[in-house]
Amino acid sequence: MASIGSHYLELEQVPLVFDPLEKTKGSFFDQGNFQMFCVQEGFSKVKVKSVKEEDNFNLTIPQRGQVRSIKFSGGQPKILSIQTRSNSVEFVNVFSSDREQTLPLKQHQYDVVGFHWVFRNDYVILITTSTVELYSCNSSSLSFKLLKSFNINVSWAIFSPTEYILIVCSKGGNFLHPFYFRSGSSVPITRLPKIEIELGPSRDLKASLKERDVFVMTLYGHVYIAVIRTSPQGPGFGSEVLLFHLPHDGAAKLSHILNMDIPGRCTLSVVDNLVVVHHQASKTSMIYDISFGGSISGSTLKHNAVLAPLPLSPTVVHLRQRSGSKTPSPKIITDDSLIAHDSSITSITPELYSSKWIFFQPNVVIDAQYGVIWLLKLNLTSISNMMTDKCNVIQLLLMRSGGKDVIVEVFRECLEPGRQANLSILGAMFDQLNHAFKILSGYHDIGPGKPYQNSISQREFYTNVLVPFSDRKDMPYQYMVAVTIEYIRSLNKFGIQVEHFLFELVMVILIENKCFYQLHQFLQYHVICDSKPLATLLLSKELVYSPATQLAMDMFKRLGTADSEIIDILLSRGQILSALRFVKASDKVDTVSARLFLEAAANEDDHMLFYTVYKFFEERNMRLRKRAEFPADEQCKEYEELFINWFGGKKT
Amino acid sequence: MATHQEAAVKSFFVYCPELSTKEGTEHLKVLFYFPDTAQLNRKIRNIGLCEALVNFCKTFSPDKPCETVHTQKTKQAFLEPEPGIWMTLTVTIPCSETIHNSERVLEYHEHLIQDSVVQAALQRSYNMFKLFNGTMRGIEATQSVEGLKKRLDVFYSRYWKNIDIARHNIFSVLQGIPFLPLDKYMYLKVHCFVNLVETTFRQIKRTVFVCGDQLVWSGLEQEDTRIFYQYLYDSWLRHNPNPEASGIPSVPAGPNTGSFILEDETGGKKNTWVYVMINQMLTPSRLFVYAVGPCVLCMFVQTDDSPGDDFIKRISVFLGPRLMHLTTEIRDFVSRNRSQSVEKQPYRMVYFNEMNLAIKSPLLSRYNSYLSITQDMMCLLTQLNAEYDKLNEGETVIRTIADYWIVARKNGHRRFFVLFTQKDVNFAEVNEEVRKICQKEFSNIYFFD
Repeated sequence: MASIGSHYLELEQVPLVFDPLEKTKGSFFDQGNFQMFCVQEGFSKVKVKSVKEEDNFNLTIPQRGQVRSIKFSGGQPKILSIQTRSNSVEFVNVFSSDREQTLPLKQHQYDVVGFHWVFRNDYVILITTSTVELYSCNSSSLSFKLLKSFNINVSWAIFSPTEYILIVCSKGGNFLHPFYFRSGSSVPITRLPKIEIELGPSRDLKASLKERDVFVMTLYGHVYIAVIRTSPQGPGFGSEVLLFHLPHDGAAKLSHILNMDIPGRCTLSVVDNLVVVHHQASKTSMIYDISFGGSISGSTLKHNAVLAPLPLSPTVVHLRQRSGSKTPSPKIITDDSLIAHDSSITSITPELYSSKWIFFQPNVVIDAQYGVIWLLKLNLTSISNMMTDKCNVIQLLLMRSGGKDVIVEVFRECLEPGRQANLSILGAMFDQLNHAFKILSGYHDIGPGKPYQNSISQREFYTNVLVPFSDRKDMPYQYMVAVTIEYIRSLNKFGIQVEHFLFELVMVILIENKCFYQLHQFLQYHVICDSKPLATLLLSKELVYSPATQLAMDMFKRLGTADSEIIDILLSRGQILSALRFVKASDKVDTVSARLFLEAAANEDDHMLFYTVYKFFEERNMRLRKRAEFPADEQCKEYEELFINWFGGKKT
Repeated sequence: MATHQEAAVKSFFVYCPELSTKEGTEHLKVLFYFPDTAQLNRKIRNIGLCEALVNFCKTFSPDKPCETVHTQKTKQAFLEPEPGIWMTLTVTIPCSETIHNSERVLEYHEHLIQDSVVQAALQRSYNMFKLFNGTMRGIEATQSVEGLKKRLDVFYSRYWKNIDIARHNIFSVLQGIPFLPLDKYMYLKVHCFVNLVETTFRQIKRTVFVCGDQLVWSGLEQEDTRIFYQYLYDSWLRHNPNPEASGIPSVPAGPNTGSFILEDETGGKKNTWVYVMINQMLTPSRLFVYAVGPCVLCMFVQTDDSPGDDFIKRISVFLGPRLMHLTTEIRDFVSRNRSQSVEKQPYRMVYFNEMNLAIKSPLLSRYNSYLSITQDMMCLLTQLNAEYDKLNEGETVIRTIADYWIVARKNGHRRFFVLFTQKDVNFAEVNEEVRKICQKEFSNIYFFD
């Protein structure tokens, strides 16, 4: 665990250990399948290391000399591809027969620059010094067919196995040629317009783009080509990262520039859509978020680092040497209780930013000296603690996959008595929260949305943020109400329907603190939405605040579905004529229970009132049944008798 | 030519019977007497008469001994605002000179000045005193009787000079508060602004937000809000620009977007002490009133030491741009919803809800002079209103001698009056018109279905 305040990037151990560099004749990491190949003495034995233990095995390959490159295809069957000579690549189906095929090169005079599997084991892209060639692969017969060839003077090439993008750098100029692979078409390769990289006026004209300075990365669902270059102001001014947005079907366009103040060699990683710049000389890293509005310069946005550069969090690796096992490679131990007692466990503290480190996209860090692999991770809690602008914190967290719990934590800190945040800042934070909620709930009518990864629902906010504070004695109730109302305002801003428990919270706090008039004003402006539970709550407060009845009645009336409640209230308050009038107005005369009304009227001890009510229902009986008498199921016998008792009349 | 004399305040006095127990020391009871020019003898006699009336009535009605007394020429109202302290207001009845049997006689029109008007004026005079001074008993306890007399003198001798009782009517009796119609979101914005002010400046204990002459938010208690609104209306709001009124620049020029208003009696200091309930206690607070265009923000400030110029400066810097922005938003909102405003309804109606003291009436608006009604009509409305105080529920339809129709309704705590000045309409048409108005205006509340 990183100590808060000194690190915001951590290394997460991958349970994959490989033989250190000194023990092998070469190690090859295959990004696509996440496998490590360690070539043993004699070039015929290869150890294959994967994250899953059952995928670790030894291979025997034809001995043809030094292995230049080795990797498996995706899909089934897995085909092993090896390059041992400068101008050929061999393919072996190591899992079934011993058939092996050397991929025929039309022009043997060209050296192979690289080769990659495209779409599992369907295609192979071969890059030579003068061509880029796409072959389709018949995996069962191991036969290859040339589909397409491009003539380019290739200096080097990089390939993204996740995005299926190939970037070729041509010789003699600083041009990048992107190729995009699209499954489903007969020739699934598209050559996109080339990009010219200006390396800056002060650079030596002979200088050319280096492979290690170009990256393909995916940020917020878009593919970018990142190029590290020295600032155009000169080598003393540090470097910058150019991000070219690469659409699937058009020319790449410079869209973002990341400013770095430090000169010297850098490399890039991507963690959770953040660009991480590692600077080897100072042994620090910086993070950039291109979704933050930077300064606009033409059509590009210039960004500064989110936080000051800091080193990665130190890490310790615990290894147990397994002597008796068939594959005598060490095993990583993560169980703390074992580490202290087991003498066969050796602990090493790898040097951070070591020269033996190799970075792979998007966030793989390999230490060839110790044979361990890490994934780069963000420590969101540290980041949120270090950032001073809380609105930026919320925005950053909303766009991180694991940001939800941290967001809750940030809000709780902002509400902590003694350190309470300014309401205008809280309001802006709520607006961001609810904007994300609105977008993730599938509303698209509010303009282009940011690529949010998570949001907080009203229920979550209520349960995790508001409720824990509402009971605290040291929390001023005014602030509690102000925060809740600010949250409700923000929900209203985005047209999100406010849930009843938020209103209840406001009502309960206001009632507890006898702020009836303030509550009354909220209701008057319909800030608190109508609902039966709220109306009932109001009704129960009649004794402490007399206008509550009127408020409840209005609410029942507006709800339109609470006629029986209104009638009950009126009857219970002896307003029987009002109740009758209400029944008439709402066209319920034929359906209401006569017994209820007669009972209420009889209780009033007002003979004239009883007479009026009785006659009203007699009239209804005449209209409905052509008889003045009440039907038996209305259970009005005792009131018929009472009527005769008081006013006489004919017996039935 | 007949001369006409309007109703006027004849006398007002405050007395405390317990201050004089011995004969010959009656003058000690007098705490304040207006007009001051009256002779001491006369003062003592009048107070003695009032005391006698009250004591006599106590025999029959111990709780409400004596509320009003009518004579041919005057109406008198009594109030015991605090235990043992009495106030009496005497108002002359309007009269006109007529020729009767070739003799000039004065005819008194008792109906032109309602009891309710006199009583309301008396109650209000106490409320205003309390707003600026606190309770009389409180002053007596801290500053002795002489101190109380001084305070009463400072306040009331000025107060009654500015009261024109003849202009008092149903509105002065109801003392309702007009609320600015805003939608939920706009209202929440105002409310959040108020919260921001209160949480940023913790010395500000309560806030009242007014736009034009209509209330938007009050953090005071209801009765305090009513009294404070009356004060604010009389001293500022009736001259305040209406948010809808044309001719006001939408953005005031210059960096000073707003200003502090309402100077106190001594002038210059720009803040006044007022006594309002804060946490169930009558508490003296400093009142700061800041205005931007039609929006007026009233802040009740509590500090141990007097807030200096620094506080005023800080708050001014804070409020200026924010209130400016909010004012623009409210103005836009109001002009968008202009057609729905009750002030634009062509009815001579008055709606009042006792529960939240909300009043709605186009007659209140300065911008609806075309809806003016005659003094007789106003008297009739005032009278009807007094009748309706005693009723829980009812409806009255009146056709006046002048062929007008007045419909009055009351249901629970809401009352509604409407006046039709069109001639040649019959009862059925009036009834139908009222039904339409009710449906339009009151469909979302439980009021006369």
